[in-house]
Amino acid sequence: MRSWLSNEDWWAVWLGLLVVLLALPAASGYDLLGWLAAPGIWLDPAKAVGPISKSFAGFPKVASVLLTYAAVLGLVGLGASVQRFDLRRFVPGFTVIFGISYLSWLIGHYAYIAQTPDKRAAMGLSWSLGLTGEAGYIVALLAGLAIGNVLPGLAGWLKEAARPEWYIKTAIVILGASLGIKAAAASGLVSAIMFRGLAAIIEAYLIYWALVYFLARKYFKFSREWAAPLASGISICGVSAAITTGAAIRARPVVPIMVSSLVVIFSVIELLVLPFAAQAFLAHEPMVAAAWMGLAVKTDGAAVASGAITDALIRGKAAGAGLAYEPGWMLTTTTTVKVFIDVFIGIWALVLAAVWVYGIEKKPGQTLPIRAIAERFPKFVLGYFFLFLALLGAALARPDALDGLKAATAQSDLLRSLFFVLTFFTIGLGANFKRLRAEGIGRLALVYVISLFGFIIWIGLAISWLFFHGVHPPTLGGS
Amino acid sequence: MTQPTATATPAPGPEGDTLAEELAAIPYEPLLPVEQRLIAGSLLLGVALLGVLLWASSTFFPIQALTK
Repeated sequence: MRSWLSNEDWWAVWLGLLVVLLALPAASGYDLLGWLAAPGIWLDPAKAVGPISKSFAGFPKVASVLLTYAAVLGLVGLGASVQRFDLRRFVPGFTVIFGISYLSWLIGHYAYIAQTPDKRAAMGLSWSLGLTGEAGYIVALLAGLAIGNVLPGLAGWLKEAARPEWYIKTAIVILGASLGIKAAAASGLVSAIMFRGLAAIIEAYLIYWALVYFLARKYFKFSREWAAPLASGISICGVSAAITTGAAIRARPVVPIMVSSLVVIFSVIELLVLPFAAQAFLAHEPMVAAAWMGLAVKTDGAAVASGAITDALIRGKAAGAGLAYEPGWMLTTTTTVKVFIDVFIGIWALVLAAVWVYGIEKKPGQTLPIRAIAERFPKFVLGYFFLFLALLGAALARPDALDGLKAATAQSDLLRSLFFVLTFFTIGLGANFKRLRAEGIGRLALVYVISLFGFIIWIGLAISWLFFHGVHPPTLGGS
Repeated sequence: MTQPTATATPAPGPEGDTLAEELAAIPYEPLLPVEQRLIAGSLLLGVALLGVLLWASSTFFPIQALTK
């Protein structure tokens, strides 16, 4: 089968494009997705969810939720079918995953959890956690962790549909459309985020990788075959970097797969800790906090998920101080940093391949594995940039259509949020902490812990500070 | 789970004795000069670029123009 039909990366692109294409007619008043079920902050469960568009205000809420489920199942089911997943396991598994994820999302919108301090009085609340509706992501993550670690049988049954990387990549592609619209309204800020994000990842990559590789080789006596994927996996890129580096230096598959297992577990720990640390210590520097998530948290899913939680937590805290940041800018910053990291993986893999072929192995006739590296280039990045440029171009060409395009991307953003919830739940589901007890993993885990908590987090924070301090998201009302 | 594409959801790794044996069998390989040059070059380039990129950021994307 052609590669653009046979892997998750390409299917993230196709699904993202399809979602945005279906949402776009709303810009011209043709509301194809207005029935999508959107959660709202609630005290009365009957008001927890409703159609996203006012033109569907009379639409039954239960039908709205069921149709949303059917639509998302149709999208991922199409991709699963063409990728030849086992549909007899995928469809029921996805149904359970969707149900628990959506329920978690709704729970996260409970007013005492979600409502920000500035709006408590309007709902008659004397207190609330102020986490915004994105608290649903945390609920979904905890639900996934509980099932993954307490009910491994159920987690195993859901495995065919538990695909956090596919879901987050689809969400990132959809996010490209929103970023295009944001850029049309605040081009200076978006171009700055892009440049500074690129600068930050170049810095982080060059420093992180060398330090982790040196530590693994010099002090932990790992072989080159282990040290290189370990350095790539630990340093900033996680799973995709470990696997791409493994291919570049022709490591055996066991190496990047083992490294990836550790990356997944530790990224969940980071996801549970770093956004709250950012809220506590960096609420006055929201973009520093956002870039830090992109530089410090591994795997696309966990990094972007951390950006989403950080966005919600800091906005909630700022709202308490009377400062209403526009939602999504911190998430955009984290995502941009992460996307550039994914692009940089390919470049770094080429450098490593050249060093290995011409400097270390020196086997006669051996050439650079360019094709293997190219095959591992993250294609969803193309979808992200395509939608960013397409929507930016459309908004710049037709400034009068900007409000309509904002309404359209609000609908695609709802599905993006839904893919986020699915990602959080399935990240938790796949993080089996019992793996840390596997005999022999201690040495690998020790390098990981020393590198991650010893310098990666702190260097990432310093670099984020250097490039993003003083940059703030726009505030609601344009103040 | 799909493997071995770079960005696919990772499959669980080997556990227990398989992993222990695998890690115990890692041979000792001294740090070659080319590896030392890679490490040093990467760090030096990182430090050198830090100044250049900070200058470019402040010159072409000044913070004053961004804060709303």
